[in-house]
Amino acid sequence: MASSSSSSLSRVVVKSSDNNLFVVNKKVASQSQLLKQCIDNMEEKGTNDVILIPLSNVTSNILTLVLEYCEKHADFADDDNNNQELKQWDHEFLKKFDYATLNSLTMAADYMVTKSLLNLCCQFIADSIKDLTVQQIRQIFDIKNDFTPQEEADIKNENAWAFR
Amino acid sequence: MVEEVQLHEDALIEVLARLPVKSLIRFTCVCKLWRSVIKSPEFASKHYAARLSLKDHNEYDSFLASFFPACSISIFCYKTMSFETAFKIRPAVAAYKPPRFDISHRDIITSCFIFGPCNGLFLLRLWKGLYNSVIVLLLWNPATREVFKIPFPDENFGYACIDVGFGFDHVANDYKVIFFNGHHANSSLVNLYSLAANCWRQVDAGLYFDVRKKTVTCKYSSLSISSNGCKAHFFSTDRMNGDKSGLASFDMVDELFIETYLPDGFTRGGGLLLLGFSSSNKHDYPTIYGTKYEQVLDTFEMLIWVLDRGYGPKGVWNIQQSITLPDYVGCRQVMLGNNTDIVFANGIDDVSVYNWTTKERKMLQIPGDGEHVIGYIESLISIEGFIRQLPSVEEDHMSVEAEIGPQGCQQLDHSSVELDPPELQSLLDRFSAEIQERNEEDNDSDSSTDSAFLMPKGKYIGEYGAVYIDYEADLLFGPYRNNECERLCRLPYCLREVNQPLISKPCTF
Repeated sequence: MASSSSSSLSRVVVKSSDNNLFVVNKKVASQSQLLKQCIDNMEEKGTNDVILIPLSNVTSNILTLVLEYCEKHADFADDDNNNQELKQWDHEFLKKFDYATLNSLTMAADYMVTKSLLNLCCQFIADSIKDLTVQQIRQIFDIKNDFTPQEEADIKNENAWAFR
Repeated sequence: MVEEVQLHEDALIEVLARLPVKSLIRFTCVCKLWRSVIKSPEFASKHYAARLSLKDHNEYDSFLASFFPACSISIFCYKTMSFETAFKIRPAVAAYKPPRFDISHRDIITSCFIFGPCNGLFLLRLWKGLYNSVIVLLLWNPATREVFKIPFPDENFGYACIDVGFGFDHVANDYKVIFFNGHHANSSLVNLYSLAANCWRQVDAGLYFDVRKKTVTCKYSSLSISSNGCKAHFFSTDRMNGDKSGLASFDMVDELFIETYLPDGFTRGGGLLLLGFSSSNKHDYPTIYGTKYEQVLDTFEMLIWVLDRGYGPKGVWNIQQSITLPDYVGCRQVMLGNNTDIVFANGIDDVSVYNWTTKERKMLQIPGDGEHVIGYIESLISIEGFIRQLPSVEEDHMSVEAEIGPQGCQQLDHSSVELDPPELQSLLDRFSAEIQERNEEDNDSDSSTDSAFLMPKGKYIGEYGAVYIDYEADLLFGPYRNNECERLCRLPYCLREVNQPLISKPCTF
């Protein structure tokens, strides 16, 4: 991807919370509104230097995944025809992860303002948990049951049909 | 390295907003945080908006079909075209004397008309009782099973009113029900119910009804599926203007009618007229489906018109689509389904899905007459959550049962002595088997799903759901039948899910 003018940046360096550095192509970085905003700000100032963007909330494991997603979507950004292929890729991409990774990815997508990844993760988690029992949900999300047994029984009785 | 497992609240809300209602109701008992999120009205709005945004043009989660003689409403999943669940209108008392003398509960609720949906909610208008019918208005959210009975100021209130519609006032954040007599009243006053205030008031709606000049009927009225469904629509006929047909739309925000003339093709004898909405239409303007018979080609044509540029004189109807239908789609109720589907009920015995591109018809194998087929998108919206004025505590319905249950039976036993005992006994025997059979369908503990749709066997069903009269028996049983009807009518009824036990506090009517 050629730069439109000599003053614009072609690459940025992103730093994860555990201090690993990632060199990211501008087009890929633009998939994240947070990174895009940083780049735009620097370009306005007319800086030619490679800029460093620290992401204090994202570990390198997760950042690698976010960037993998951004790279794929940047490739497809100009191509409307391969929507189906991209959807398939998205699905395969998320299928590999456990819930802990999915949750971290969701929060990273939220933090980095990558709306499409956030939507994708939320929908994927929702689809995979919708038929689970309450007990399974508590396990997956490591949630402590803070109801008394009586309270829990009352809620179940009130809507017995939803627990079938 | 340890990954964080728990979702932050923002991300949690995003995930929950993409779940179906049934899952959410189950997940209210995961923990207190989840419960407080799911129960909040803000979340209900967000959830509904998310479900709307995920849908394409005219795409629904589910659709419901009602079967009037059985007083049941069933819900189908649109995605799989499979039966999801059924509701029926039945007595709200677990143990009571079942009907006798050839009467069934289905004779007691003589009509059930469905309006909506508006944000996933429906308005039901029921006629309860045989000889002294009473109107009952219910607000219903099929996804959450919430039912709310709209209180009437006095018991005669329902008689004078015929036409009804409802909608959402997004300015006042209130659901309103309009109830008026569009056939006879020479007045522009209508009764308007506000859910927030939980009371009725009279409003000058700005449209003067006169049976000789202008009548309004709501026969096919239905409402928006989008979040600002703020108008209730009725078809009007203007006799002064050569029976010109119009659409009288009552705006829930400014509480006035505005009339839009219908496209010319539909002024007279234009075939079936239905109202619908397309979710992609950001102005929330209505869509009309009309069927037209082409004599030359011997086909039915369905035209879909969408209103553009606003209501009233500036409104323009554009033909969005014209679909040729096979002759068997000469139907009572049509709904434009997802993609290239039409869901229709033929008014006799079946609900079918017809794909107009592949010309395939799929029958859904549901016996019943299919009075309505309506698509909707489920919502978590709580009806009672909108009431700012809490209703007064209603009388305990169980005491009603205790009072009338045994008494009714005693009366019958006494009076049977006055008649010719052998003859009465033989007739009673003759009917007892039949009645038993029918009542088994209504039995709470073992009612099968299908039985909710079955019509009473071998009996004539009158147009208005009248009692199935056997004249020989009627001569003998007349008085008893009346008593029995009265007894059944006085039982508290409720709308409940088939195969489910009575919930502890059903909404009774």
